[in-house]
Amino acid sequence: MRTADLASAFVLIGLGLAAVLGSPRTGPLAGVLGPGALPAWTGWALACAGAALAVAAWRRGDSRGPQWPGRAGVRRVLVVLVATAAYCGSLEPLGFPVASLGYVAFMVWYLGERRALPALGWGVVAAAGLWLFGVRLLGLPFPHGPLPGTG
Amino acid sequence: MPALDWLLHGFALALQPETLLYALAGCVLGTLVGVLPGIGPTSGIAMLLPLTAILPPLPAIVMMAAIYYGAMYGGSTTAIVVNIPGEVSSVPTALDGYQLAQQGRAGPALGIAAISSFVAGTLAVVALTFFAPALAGVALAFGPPEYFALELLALSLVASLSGRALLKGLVSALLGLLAAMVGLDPVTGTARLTFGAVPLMAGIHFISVIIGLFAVSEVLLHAERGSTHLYQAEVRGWLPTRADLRACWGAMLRSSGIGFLLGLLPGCSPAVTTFIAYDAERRVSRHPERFGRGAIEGVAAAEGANNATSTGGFVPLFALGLPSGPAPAVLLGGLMMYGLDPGPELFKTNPEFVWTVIASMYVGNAILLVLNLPLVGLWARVARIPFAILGPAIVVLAAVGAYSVRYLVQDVWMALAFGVLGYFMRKLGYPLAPLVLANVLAPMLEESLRQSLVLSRGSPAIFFTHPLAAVFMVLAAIALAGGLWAGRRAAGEPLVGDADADA
Repeated sequence: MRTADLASAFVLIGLGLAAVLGSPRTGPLAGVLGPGALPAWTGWALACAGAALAVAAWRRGDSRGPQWPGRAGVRRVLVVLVATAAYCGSLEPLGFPVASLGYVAFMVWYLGERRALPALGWGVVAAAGLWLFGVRLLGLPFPHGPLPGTG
Repeated sequence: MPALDWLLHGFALALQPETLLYALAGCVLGTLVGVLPGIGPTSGIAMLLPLTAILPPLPAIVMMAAIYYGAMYGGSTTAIVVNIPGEVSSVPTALDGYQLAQQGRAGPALGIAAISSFVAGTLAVVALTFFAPALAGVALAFGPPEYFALELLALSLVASLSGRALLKGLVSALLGLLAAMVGLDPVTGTARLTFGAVPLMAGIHFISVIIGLFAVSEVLLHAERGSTHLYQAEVRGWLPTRADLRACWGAMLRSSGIGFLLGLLPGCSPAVTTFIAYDAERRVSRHPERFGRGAIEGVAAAEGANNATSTGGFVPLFALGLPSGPAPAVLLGGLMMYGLDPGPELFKTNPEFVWTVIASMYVGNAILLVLNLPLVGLWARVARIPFAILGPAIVVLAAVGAYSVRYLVQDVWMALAFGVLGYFMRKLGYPLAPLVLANVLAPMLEESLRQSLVLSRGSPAIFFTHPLAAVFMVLAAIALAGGLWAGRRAAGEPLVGDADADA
């Protein structure tokens, strides 16, 4: 855990300092806290906590690390991440039901037995369920994409 | 007419067969909507309220109460079965409920959630019946310094839950605070932590944070492991055993008390009280090390506090017109359509209306128990769905939940970003609960801090000169010191709520 904790500690220090820099410099308002005071304090606190974590990790010298995935695991995580990012990116241009159809079909195919037809079937079920429950019943204003009536 | 007679009169009205049917419909619809992450009680009630507009006042009120309780309960189902707490108040439920599900005990966990909700709801309604008018004044004893100190205490309690990783718990809370401060300053409108990015001016909604941290990171972890099912354990029993009930009755009673009393404070929502009740239960337990690894008392405490707070919140709602959170605020709007005029004199001027609402709440509670216990087996069977199907379904549900809060696609992106953060936090042993609670409390914390400092003309001594605030501040310090001490003593113990982190 030592290396992982050290790495995360440095990320936290960076994040804390970024928060300090990103806090507005406006002075106190009516004699009390300005809008930047709390974010800046929190940023400093995070940077200090990160530094304390780094020192603790350095002193401990614990060799137990987190269980990072092997190559196949990393590939699966990356594929799921990329597919989910593509899904988020397609929500507006394609609309929720169509984008969900594509996402579910791909994921069922990729994570399952790689059979296209059942995967497509699950995609259709997801899209239909979303449309029926989300759009028709609850009236959620989903982006509809090129298909009118799906949002 | 005394309170009890008015309550009986309310029951006579609420228990008519036709009215009961509407209550049943409200419970079913509320549970269905509550099950969807992100939609949760607030949006769920707002969406379903128009349905009640076509009804006469009495069935409409009963249906509203049923929708409210159904939606409040629905969130715990997904928290236990698939580790998606649809609301912040379901996070403590997920900590142990999902662990129980992974051990093949989703059924008993769901059953205890339903029973605990019922018991706490019932006790709270009884307390409401007898003490509501008298307790209304408690809310007025709380000013900004008291709220700030109470919120700080809640944060300290949750950070101290992190055991040996107290520092990581504090870091998690600080990350939650920072995420909540992104966007426009509520007082001046100045952009904070946006780094010039216009979409960030809308801020980061806490529902995206919860959904990402729990649901998306769960899918990533299972994808990494190549899981065939969300949990492999064989399902053991659909309902809680006698031993489960024996283990939980104390937790149900304690959480009912904590939830109801804290629920009396306007603004003190189940998001706070469920964490406090969960922490209290862990502290009184003979085996605190089981918490976060599948302690059924943890589920009972969180669910009991959730329901008791919701009911306790009706005291300031009725007597002062102050809702304890967004969901009761929407409910208040609905009730006002039918003539509810909240105020200290409400119990005297409009007793029939107010006692019918209270009786309806009781009826809604009972129907929810009758409805949900038989459904426990059905929900627990979700575990048998292959991960290849359930995983994408969870992500789609998460996307719908994140989007539905503000109808912004950027919230879905945020959920994905917090999913990645949650994945790494779980890998590195950072607890998630402090981040969630800090994220939810941050706006209230900042508001009460600013108001307190305005009152004291900038002097922080106000937190120690107000007796109640001082007590909370001291308790917060004790909680942190206790967490440090316990952490040193239990070096080597796994982190609460993260038993699955390295699995």
